[in-house]
Amino acid sequence: MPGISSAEDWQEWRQGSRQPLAGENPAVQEIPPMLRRRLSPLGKMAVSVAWPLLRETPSLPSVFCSRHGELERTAGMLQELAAGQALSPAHFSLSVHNAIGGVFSIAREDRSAISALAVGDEGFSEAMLETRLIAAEQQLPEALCLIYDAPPPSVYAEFGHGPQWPFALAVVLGPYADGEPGFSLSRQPASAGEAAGSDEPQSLSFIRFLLDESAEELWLPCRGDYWRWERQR
Amino acid sequence: MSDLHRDLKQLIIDSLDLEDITVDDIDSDAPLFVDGLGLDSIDALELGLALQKRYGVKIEADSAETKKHFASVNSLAALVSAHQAQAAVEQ
Repeated sequence: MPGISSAEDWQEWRQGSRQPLAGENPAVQEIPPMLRRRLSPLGKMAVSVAWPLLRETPSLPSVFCSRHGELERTAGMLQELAAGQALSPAHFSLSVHNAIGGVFSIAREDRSAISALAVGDEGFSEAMLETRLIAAEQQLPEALCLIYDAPPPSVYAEFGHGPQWPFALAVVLGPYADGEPGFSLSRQPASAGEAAGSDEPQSLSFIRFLLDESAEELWLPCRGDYWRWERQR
Repeated sequence: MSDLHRDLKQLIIDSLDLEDITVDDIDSDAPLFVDGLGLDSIDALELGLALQKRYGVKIEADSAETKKHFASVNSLAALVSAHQAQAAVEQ
């Protein structure tokens, strides 16, 4: 989130002593300026969390997940159209849901497969599952899951969908080995549990869970049922 | 550098989000695309739109003439000057 990037920042956030800061955007110096200019602030945030994870990994398939994607650009273009103005070709080409993944792959010179998923907040666990399945299908040990979203533009405010702050979460998912520390995921019926209702994006709840070493499990609602994440020690 | 050259360079920087480049970094004679400044095909479309909005210059997407006009800031300045002269005559 803006102003929350290091492990210490996130721990402070979890403990409630640090809040996101508007206007704190990552610089993504790793990407050449001529390519970097193609990234929106959300794109920069997404790339800035994934980049350090893959520094030693020349190629890796990835799953880019976002509920709204580059909605800021799309809304801007719709407003230009409504005003009878010509559309910006650059905004047009970069408004598609896989735009950030495209820039990311060009910057990394990585031709691995990229999936771009439009995932609602409750699809968090399924996005992670999809990433594991893609790695398994390609017979690779790992794949990248990158989840990012931002508050929708103000014209959509009345619909109330979306996070309060922009966020990005990147995870390289490897296989789970029995008896090793890790996480397991299972689908649970509605009758099995009750998670407290929360406005928090599930990605952030998951980060809380990761940071809290004492937490054994995390229940995330999904269309009436639950996904249960369990910590294996 | 003439005012038109300066304006064109600023237009290029603003319309193409060239974050780290200033007017003084752009050589009026240097190629804008591929070599030199290193712009690409999306930039060409974007710049065409910006020129149309600012100066009313209509640019054909596929003509050989267009390629000539887009070679450098100097050639763009010549295009805009010719267009402005033409517009003045028509008035």
